[in-house]
Amino acid sequence: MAELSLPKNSRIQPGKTFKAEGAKNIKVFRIYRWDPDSGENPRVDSYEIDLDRCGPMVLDALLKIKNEIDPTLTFRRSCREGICGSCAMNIDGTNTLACTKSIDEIAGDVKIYPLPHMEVVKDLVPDLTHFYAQYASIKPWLRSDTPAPKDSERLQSIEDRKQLDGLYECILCASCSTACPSYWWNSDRYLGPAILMQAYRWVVDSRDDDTGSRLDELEDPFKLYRCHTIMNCTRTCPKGLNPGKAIAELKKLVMARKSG
Amino acid sequence: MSFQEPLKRAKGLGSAHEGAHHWWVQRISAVLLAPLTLWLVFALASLPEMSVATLQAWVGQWYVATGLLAFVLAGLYHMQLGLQVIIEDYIHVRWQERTLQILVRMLAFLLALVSVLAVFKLAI
Repeated sequence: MAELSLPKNSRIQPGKTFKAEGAKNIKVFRIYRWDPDSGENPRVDSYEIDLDRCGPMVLDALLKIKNEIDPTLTFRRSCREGICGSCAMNIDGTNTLACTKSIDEIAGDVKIYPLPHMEVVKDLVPDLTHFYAQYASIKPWLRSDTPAPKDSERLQSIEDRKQLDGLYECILCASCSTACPSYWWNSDRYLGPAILMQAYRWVVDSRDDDTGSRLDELEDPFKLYRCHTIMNCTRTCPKGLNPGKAIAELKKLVMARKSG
Repeated sequence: MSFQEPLKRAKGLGSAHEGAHHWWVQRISAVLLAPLTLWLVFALASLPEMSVATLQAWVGQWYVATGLLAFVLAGLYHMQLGLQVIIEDYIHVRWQERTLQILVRMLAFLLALVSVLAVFKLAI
């Protein structure tokens, strides 16, 4: 049966509070902490941040905490401009990128948790091994029986190239997949919105001719049809993309080659 | 400690090459049920009274009996398809999942038989 309560060693305990002495413009950041080596339950630590001495984005506050208050806080980050996807986390109840989420959009305390329903490596770092393996499983590269032209790249018309708009921009941050209840309950078999959108990206690529076997691989009650069009994926995507629509298009293409 | 490669786990048992049919008939039965449900609600509401005699006279009309049969059979088919998905979503112990799937199918089949008999009994 579905588990309705957290196992004992996953229940979140109250944590430490770090005061900002002498600050006037204070925002409290309540952050999920878990250290696998401590043997303790996860806890939520509170950090008071002086907004007058902090950059505008949630990632700026996280870096300030790590640099100036608590160097043990662990999170992923790299490009700080929404293109690498490393700093995806659950901020104020929504999966998004810490680097593009501005602090002043958030009313009250800023609550930060790792991406939902993933194994946690430490603090805000989820284990994305299976997510990346699922990406590899769709063979996300150009597959064609026609060799590439000798002296040039494979050409596309402007219209053909337009098919990829809204798909190629995905940075695989996993915000959408980890916002999807179907992915929470069945991620062992369901590919999830991020991977399905990339599968669609190759299905509609005019240069790829392995469309049939791509659809063959996807037509499965769990890999594709666990999507029940809940649309959390589209609502949460920090890049404004629409994985829900890509999945619907995949279902239509699977039907398009059948009779009846 | 597992030495299995993550890709092995992601690929699992591979694709079942099915699921489209289920998805399609679930939608077709839903489209069929929408007007049938509206018709049934309005038709029942506009009956003068709920006595057996009135119902017998009403169901005795060929198009009412046909509509009722269509509603019951499409509804039970749709129910089975929907419950199948819910069970697949939430029940992760293999034997429990399979047992429930079998029970739901048997229940839908029995309910269909009983409903058809009931409509015939009223109509004829």
